[in-house]
Amino acid sequence: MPGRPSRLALEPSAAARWLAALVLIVTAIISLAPFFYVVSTSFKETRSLFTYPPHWFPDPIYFGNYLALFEKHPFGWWLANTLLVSSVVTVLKFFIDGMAAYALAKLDFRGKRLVVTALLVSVAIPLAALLIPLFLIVRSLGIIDTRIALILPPLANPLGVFMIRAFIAGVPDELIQSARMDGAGEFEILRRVVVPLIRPGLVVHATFIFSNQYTSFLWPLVAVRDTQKQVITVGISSLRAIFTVDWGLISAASLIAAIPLTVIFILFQRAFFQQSLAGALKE
Amino acid sequence: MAATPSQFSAIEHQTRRASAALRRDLTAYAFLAPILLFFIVFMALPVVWLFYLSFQNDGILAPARFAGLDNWRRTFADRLVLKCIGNTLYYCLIAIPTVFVLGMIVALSLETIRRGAAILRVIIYFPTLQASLIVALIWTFMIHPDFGLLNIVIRAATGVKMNFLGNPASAMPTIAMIEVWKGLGFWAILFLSGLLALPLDLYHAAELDGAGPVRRFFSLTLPLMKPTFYFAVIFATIVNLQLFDSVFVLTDGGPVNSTATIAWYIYRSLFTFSDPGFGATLSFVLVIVVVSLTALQSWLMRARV
Repeated sequence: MPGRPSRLALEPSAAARWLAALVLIVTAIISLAPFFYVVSTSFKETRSLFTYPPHWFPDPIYFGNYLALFEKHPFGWWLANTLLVSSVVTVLKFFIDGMAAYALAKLDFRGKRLVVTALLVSVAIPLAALLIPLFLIVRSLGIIDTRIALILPPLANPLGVFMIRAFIAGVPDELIQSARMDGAGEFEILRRVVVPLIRPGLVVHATFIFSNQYTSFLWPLVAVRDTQKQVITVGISSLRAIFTVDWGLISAASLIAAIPLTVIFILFQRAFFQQSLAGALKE
Repeated sequence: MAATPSQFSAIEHQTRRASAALRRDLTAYAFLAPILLFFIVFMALPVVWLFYLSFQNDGILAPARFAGLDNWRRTFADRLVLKCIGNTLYYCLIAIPTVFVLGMIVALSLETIRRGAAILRVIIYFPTLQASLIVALIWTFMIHPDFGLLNIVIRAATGVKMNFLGNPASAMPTIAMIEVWKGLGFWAILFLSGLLALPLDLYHAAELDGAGPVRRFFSLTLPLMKPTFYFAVIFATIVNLQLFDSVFVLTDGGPVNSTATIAWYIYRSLFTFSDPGFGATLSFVLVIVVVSLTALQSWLMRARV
């Protein structure tokens, strides 16, 4: 941002600015280089990869990898399942976390400390450790190997509650009190007073939940066996297991898988960077 | 004994207050009901079940049977358990400090440049955005001994073909490097937001007192950012102790178990060895390790604020 004093050096010298720019350009190149290689590989036939020195640009451009994904593998299903499961979880979490967060931020009730402590401690419980009992619970509920099994357990994740709670805490109590005076019920207050005020925060919450769900791997790997019900991460990793590794195919798949999150992120990046996750999750 | 009117109203007042309190509680728990329901079924119950399973054998293919302390004995006697705990901690000790230092450098740089911060921020955040599974796949082939981009560069410069993942000494640091690459954007943005929240006045005052940039960094920026760092350390520990996806893709625990992590062993104990009792015991150990480490960290940090 032009002319703004920085905390590193109040009036950074030209040299300091250039050094910072250099650091960032190198970081940006390192961050993006693998993706360019993936793009290039996705348009090559895998056997042409083994030529040395390599061709940086595919010649001729080969679309076979992309076609194979949809013709020989249920890639369309994987993508659809992932988008469906992630959207459903995001919508449900909007209600579940929003309501819980409102109660924790603005309502007084007996047992509040206990609820907060239980939810806080559970933030530290690693999902990986719950894999076996979750598998057994979901199996005894009779929903193993269904998309519902992918949706339900992630709803217990308490992180989103604390995130929204931090946003709601910023809403002045007077607003809520005066709405109560006007005879509004608590749900009404949440819906009409609180939600409109914390909209940017809710966008961040939704982005966070959606991308968490979109990228999840371990639980879907365990919960679903049927390849048509599988999500994209597990699907792509299964491409690798079949005979020799077809890097062209995997590159094409990874690239398509990266698109939805990238689009969402670019759309909402302003809200995302303003209401940084960090501030919200700090407890 | 006849009650006086004032006593009546006191009782009435009390009951009214009690019923108001009850209504208040009911409203609050109605709001909390959905999260508590899922929390109990998919978080609290699994932890309790974990403990119960640790005293049982079988249960996946054959019916479960009571096993006493057998699983616990096996867990503590198993060399690979110790190895996994050691590997996981080793990984955390490489990855977390590296990503924090680099993240801080990037955050400071983003704050210093004159323009372009908005676009650079997005680019640097890009790897963080991707699924760790996909990141691992991309890197498998970035460092592929035959055609990996990194290897092509190294080969052009030195003529040596590196096998990053094939060597027990370099496999775990390689995984750590990949996770650092992925995590850098997240931590840089987190530190940047912490940095931007610091009051500039203090910096002007420090400058007037003759403190140079280096001095200001160490005696203002770092101490003032403590709350951000505290959160960062705790969050990073919780996340990194669960390392699984990239191990699963890149090495599957090898070579010679040099990248076997706790989460990987839990997964294997269920799906390769069909040994949920043993896996549950190991999981319970992981829960205890993570929760107590987190509690210890937050206690230490709160004590020092």
